[in-house]
Amino acid sequence: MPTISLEPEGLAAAAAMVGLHLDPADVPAITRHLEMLLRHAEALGETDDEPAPVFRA
Amino acid sequence: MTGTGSAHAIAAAVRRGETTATAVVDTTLARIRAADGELNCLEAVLEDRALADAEAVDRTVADGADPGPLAGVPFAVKSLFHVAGVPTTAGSLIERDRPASRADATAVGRLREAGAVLVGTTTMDEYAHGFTTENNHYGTTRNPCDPRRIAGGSSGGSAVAVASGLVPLALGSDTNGSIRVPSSLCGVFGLKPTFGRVSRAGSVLFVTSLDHVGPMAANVADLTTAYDVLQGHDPADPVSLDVTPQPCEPMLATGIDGLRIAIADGHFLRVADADGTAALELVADALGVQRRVTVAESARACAAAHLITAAEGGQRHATALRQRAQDFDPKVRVGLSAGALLPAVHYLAAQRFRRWYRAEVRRVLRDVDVLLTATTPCAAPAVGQATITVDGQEELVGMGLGLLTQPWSLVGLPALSVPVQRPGQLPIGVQLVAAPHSEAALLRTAWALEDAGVLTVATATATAP
Repeated sequence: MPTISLEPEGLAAAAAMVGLHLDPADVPAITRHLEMLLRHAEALGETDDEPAPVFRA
Repeated sequence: MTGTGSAHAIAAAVRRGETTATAVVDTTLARIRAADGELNCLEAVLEDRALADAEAVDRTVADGADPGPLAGVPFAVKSLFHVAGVPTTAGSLIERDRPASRADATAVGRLREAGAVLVGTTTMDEYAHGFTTENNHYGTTRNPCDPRRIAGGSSGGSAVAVASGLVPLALGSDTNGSIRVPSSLCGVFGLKPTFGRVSRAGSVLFVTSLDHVGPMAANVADLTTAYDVLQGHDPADPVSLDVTPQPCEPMLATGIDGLRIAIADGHFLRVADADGTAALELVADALGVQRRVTVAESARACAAAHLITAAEGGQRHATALRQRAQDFDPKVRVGLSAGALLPAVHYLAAQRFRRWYRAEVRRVLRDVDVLLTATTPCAAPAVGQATITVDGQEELVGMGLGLLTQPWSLVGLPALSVPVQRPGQLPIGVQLVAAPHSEAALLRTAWALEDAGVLTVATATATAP
């Protein structure tokens, strides 16, 4: 599920949407951190929570 | 009795008039002055306040009134708790610039009402974001068992203050393991109570849906008394549970009679290294436990905790990121910025998984009273070390150290790290986990292990009187 662009321009645009101005020196580390979070999101898979939660990998 | 012995010993001596709270605090302050230069566990030493509070305890004793169960016991608190008259830094420069707090946090106030004497605030990762207490603004806190190694975090200063015998009690906070991880690496007892059981009012929050407050101590009796003083409803905390306090101290001596105890396998055994596994086996053997149970999808629980932490932490600090980004510790700025940019779909998926995992844990705990795991995947890494090896993979220290603690805080369960005796080796903790509101089961189990001689605080005995 592509939800955010990790290209520098995409990241800057996403930051602007929430009012953040990223220091260019931070961008590589923030990108790596977001990559890690997106890996967690991928690992999480999806769940149906009603009526009986069933995990789908 | 003039020094920093156990809280119970100090309080008994003060109550009997064998020493004074002022003498105890004087000795404590002298020890802090002598020892904290190398350890860097105290951010602020509150000498005037401590001596004034100690004198008040002594007046109460002299008047024949009850000074409380912690009479004259020195304690320290993580620097995210409000202390009247002191800026609450939360390990940051930004918070340091705010006006001094006008009142004590509820948890600080409850310990003080019980006669304990606050002597200082302790170091931490900035805004509780981290597991190492390597703080760009306030320096690195050293592990008293080996100063070349980290204390763990984010309540690292509190763990070191207890482990080094400077104070018998300290307060920490725990979002993903920030009480239990430093307790494991420094070799002390650390309790993360049930979510909502101890008030967070008057503390700087990090992740609203995950933050807990709890005590750290050098033995089970002290930890239990502190928890009994701290627990209870607080209308000033929106997530505080309005349930009747359940004193645990009277139940300690019942030991493990009737408790169903099991080792959590799967993720929890894969993540622990040889040290963690050996400590776990030692505890299991002492308890006569061979049974193993599986809590499904616990690795995914860690993923969910990471996502929720990033999103809620990033949102909480978004205003400061806009206004004073350069005043953050760089590694914290990076983590919070990434969290602020995380799309909501991932946060919502993590919350949905959290509900699923809560149901899974509830299923397991219908048949088990206490679960056992190692507390941390390994003993204390070196200062400045970037990664640890977990299950054959390189993990960032700041991520990997919480892999055994995160699943339980995700669903608000009480969890206690106990220090396993390992002569000549670095400390490592074993984690005891129970159903909500079952702190007594954890403390009874810890009491039985302590009584069996399996648990020892690594360094406190070297400095106790």
